[in-house]
Amino acid sequence: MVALAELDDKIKEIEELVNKDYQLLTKDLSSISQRFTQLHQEYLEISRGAVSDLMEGLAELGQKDFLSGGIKLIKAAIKGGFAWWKKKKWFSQFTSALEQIYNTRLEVIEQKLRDIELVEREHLPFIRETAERLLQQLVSFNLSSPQVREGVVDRAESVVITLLKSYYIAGVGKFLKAAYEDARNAKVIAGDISVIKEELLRGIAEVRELLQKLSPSPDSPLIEVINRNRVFGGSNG
Amino acid sequence: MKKEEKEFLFEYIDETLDDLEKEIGFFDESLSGKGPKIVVKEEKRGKKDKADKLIQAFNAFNDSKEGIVEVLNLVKAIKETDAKANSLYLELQRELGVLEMRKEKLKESSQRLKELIETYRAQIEKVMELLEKLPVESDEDFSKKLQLIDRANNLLRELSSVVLKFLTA
Repeated sequence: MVALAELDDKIKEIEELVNKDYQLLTKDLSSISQRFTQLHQEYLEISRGAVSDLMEGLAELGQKDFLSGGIKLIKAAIKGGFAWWKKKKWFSQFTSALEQIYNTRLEVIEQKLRDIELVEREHLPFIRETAERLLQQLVSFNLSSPQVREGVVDRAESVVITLLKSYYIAGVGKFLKAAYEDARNAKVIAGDISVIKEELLRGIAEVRELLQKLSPSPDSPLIEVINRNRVFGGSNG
Repeated sequence: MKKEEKEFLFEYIDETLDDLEKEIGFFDESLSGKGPKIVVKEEKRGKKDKADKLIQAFNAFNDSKEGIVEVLNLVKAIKETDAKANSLYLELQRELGVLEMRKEKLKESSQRLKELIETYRAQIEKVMELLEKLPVESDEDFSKKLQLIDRANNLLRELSSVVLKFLTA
């Protein structure tokens, strides 16, 4: 099968491309979050120290121990103030950065899913319908001479390859859709590349059926495309 | 003042205060190594107060000295924690930058390819219309028709390639 063999490299290429995108869209940020939680804890401890300094300082002032009490109050103010301010600043910075990251990821994923859906809904049907219209034109010809016939069979074969390509594209679309949906759900394994070949095999069976359906007689040029065995060889579907 | 010296001094002061009937002497020497030597006699009340005040002032000075060092260490520790937080934040920002770039690039190429697809589809529609209207009455018509079929099929293939690019953008 010419069509299938030629596609192997291309499929690998697509797989790599999707893997790269998938990694970008699902990169685990938990280590950063964890380290941030630790920092948060450190700030909390500093705050706690501030409270005990404050109490000690006040007690010492009560006992008229002004110098030591005063220093403790200053310490409490620095500890408490710094820790509170830093905690607040970093907490809001971290959460807003994380939120932005998750939102941007989601936007990319949604855009991809929208595009894939558009292809499935609009463009693939258009390509298939147009190819079918071309085949209908080809069967309507009055095939007077063998040369004319040969020309028509060549064209039909060429249109059939276009049609098969649309199944390959549909397979790519299905694979991508699964991969991006997996990314949205943060799954570990993204999509299954074998869906592309499955779709192509389905295409070969369907196109063969279509050619038979469009042929007014067993000697039509479309049947000859099947019999030439160049596109359909090995797929006795 | 060395730690040992300080401990010694405190111990000494403790003992002498408990036993103020006797004299307290020379702790000021340990303090600075010089200065007046304080001698408190049991029968002299005023001298006891003086010693108390001195001990208090000394303790306060020592406490506050430690306190000041602690404050400086604290500021240092907070600066370090702050630097750590900052580097984590930068890491997140880098991540966000890569994603933003991916998003912008996708948006841009998605739009461009969408327009290209529409252009192809319009062209193909035109060729198909011509093709389907053209009657086949002569050999010339026939070859014209084959040409149009070739043209339409080529355009369809190009469209397919653009659609594939659109999917994998």
